[in-house]
Amino acid sequence: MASSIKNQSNWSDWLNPVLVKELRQYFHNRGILITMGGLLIAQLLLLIIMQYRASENASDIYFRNGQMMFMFVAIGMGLAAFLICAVSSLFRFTEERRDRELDFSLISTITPNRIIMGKLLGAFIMFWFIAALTLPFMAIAYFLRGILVYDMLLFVLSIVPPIMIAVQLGILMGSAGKRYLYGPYYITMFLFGIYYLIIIILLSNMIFRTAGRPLAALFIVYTISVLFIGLLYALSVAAISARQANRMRPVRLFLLFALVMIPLLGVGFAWLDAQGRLQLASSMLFAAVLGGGIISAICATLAAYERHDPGLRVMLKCPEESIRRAIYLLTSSGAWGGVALSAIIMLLTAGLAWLLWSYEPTMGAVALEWCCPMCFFLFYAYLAVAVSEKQKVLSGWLIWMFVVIVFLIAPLLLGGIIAIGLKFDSQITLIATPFYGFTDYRYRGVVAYIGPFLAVLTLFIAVALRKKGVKS
Amino acid sequence: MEIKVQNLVRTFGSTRAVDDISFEFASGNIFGFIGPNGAGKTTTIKIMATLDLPNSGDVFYDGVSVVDYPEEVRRIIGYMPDSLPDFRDIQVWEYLDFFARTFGLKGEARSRTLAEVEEFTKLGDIRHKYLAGLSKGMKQRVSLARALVHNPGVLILDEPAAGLDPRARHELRELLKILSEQGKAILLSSHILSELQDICDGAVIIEKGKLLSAGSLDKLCVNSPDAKATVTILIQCVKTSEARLKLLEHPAVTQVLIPKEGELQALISGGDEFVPPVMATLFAAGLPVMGFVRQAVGLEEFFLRITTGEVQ
Repeated sequence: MASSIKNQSNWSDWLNPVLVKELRQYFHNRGILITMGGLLIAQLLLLIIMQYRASENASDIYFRNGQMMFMFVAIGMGLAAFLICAVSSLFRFTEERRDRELDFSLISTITPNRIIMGKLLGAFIMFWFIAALTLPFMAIAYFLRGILVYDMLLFVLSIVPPIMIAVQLGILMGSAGKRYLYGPYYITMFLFGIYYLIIIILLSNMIFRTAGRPLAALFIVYTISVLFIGLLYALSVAAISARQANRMRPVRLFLLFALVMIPLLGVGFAWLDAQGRLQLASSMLFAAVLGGGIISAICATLAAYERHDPGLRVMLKCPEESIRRAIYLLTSSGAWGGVALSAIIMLLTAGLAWLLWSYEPTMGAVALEWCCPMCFFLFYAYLAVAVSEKQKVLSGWLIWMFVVIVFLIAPLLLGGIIAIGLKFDSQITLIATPFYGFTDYRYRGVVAYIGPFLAVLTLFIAVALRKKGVKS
Repeated sequence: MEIKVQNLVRTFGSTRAVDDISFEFASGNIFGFIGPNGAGKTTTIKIMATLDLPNSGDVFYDGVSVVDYPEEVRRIIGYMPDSLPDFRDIQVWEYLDFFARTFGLKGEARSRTLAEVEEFTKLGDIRHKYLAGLSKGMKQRVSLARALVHNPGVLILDEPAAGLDPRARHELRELLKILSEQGKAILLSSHILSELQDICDGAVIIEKGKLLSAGSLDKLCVNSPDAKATVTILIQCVKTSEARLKLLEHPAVTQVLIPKEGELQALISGGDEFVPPVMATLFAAGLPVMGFVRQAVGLEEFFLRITTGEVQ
């Protein structure tokens, strides 16, 4: 039917089909329209209250009412955006997954990447639509005085990252298609909200009292948020990709991209330092070590949740040439590739920490100490993958959880019980955990060697096993 | 177009959901895909629709492999699952428009294609209704329209008639006949075997992941050893009670039914060679036989004969 018809494009043809569908759904959804209506009514009520306050105390009208009204409008906007963009993304994607509607999108010519991008962009556009609904009230706040348009813009910009993180997390959890994940999502969002409230307070203090450099602070918040959203995004793409496809490749590639981008945090910290005590190069190196450790830990932990071998379909596309083959396997699905990549990142991070220590000993020492606890995550993942490969009953992630309980949570609890219950020095129980830094300083030097040692050992064993696996 | 399923194997842990299944069919054919619950039908269909990958084996659409070239295969197949679209916030035309966009249809071409598909599936009057508010039959038509939106050469339908009322089932059957006449290859799984018999050219029967039988209906229900093993004869005789007793005396006759006065239905085990001696017993007894005809085995009866009903 379609093939015989000549194609004539219009402007919407260039848009992502999922984006078009999402926007249509937003404007058809009764719950969303009610929330938007609620936001408008709440703002009108606020206006009446402000009018009443102004008439009651005419001398107080300037310099306080404007800022107060803006804050209420901004909080309302944030809440509405959370409900409309984030919660509805979770609900909608969960239902699409449950009803197998997503399957039909996947058997069209659209890619998992475009599906997730369409959903994220849809929520992003809705955020600005909601912001536009509050514009008249923000204008009134401006005319009540006490606040600048530039400050308003900065504050609104500070609300975007948590909303987009909530949206992307909703998409990721929705991709599982399980309704019982709604509860954990709300709990996560509540805890994240408390954490972000502190950032908002610090940011608003900078913005409205012109203390420090709010743009630098926003730059740091945006850098962290973009990297975090990127990770959630890559995981979402992996979650909806075919089971035997090279689904971890986008995640691994993103982690490598994050490794390159993380020094930007250092730029932000150097910019934030009004006194100029922090050197740009040292700050970037320090950020690279901090981020590198975390990325290595994430890469290793995800490896514990993967299948052991890349799979037939992945191996069929594996290049013949040895270097390209190694890079391909490190960035493809397969637990051992993940463990090896994590170890390489950790070694690179330890090298950067050593470089920093050589010309900035104070920061370098902190950076070196940071590497060790991160190495423990590599060790946990390695152990989980190795054990799960030897037996077929328990999956990798289950063994990983068991390892973490035995090597991390149990010593921590034991130490706490001994210290609080028996009033006895229990620091020694932490020595083989990432919290070894809390132990007696005499042991810390010795333990600091464990981390890089584990990284080297893990790398050699992972590569050897991978080689054996590929040959077989 | 030729569709070849070749030595397909799919395991889930220690369970072999699909165990070395091979069959083929071609354009213009409607093939029934039959098996008890848990036989591996949906798993096979999912592999054929590129939603899953086999552990070994492959499916070829005119030589294009689902394992190696799933993107190319998606352009030539239309898949209609057993679940129905149920969005509260999408209208029928928006839903179809979305799938047309995902297949790269643009502008005027998309509008015209949608109009054609809506006309064919008779969705024109309800195009502005929300999906959640539609009846099951309507949703089924929307689902079929979605599978047809990119004009695929092959249609794979998983339980398309499940839960439909007789009128909706009839309408669906008519639509499938037209699609088959247009040259599309259609594979449909269903539990309503009597309906499959009416529209199918052939059938594939599986149980516990294994292929039991595949081929044209003639091949299965007339010429296969299983069909030949037991023969059904419809006999017209005035003295039905006496004839029944006489027939039961013959060791090859396993059952005799009297569907209506003057008619007997005899099941003869052992095959066609036992028909003349059985009939000879009636003639020898001097019973007035007006006529007799050998009945073909129905798809349902054939299915019951070769399956055990066990699940994995």
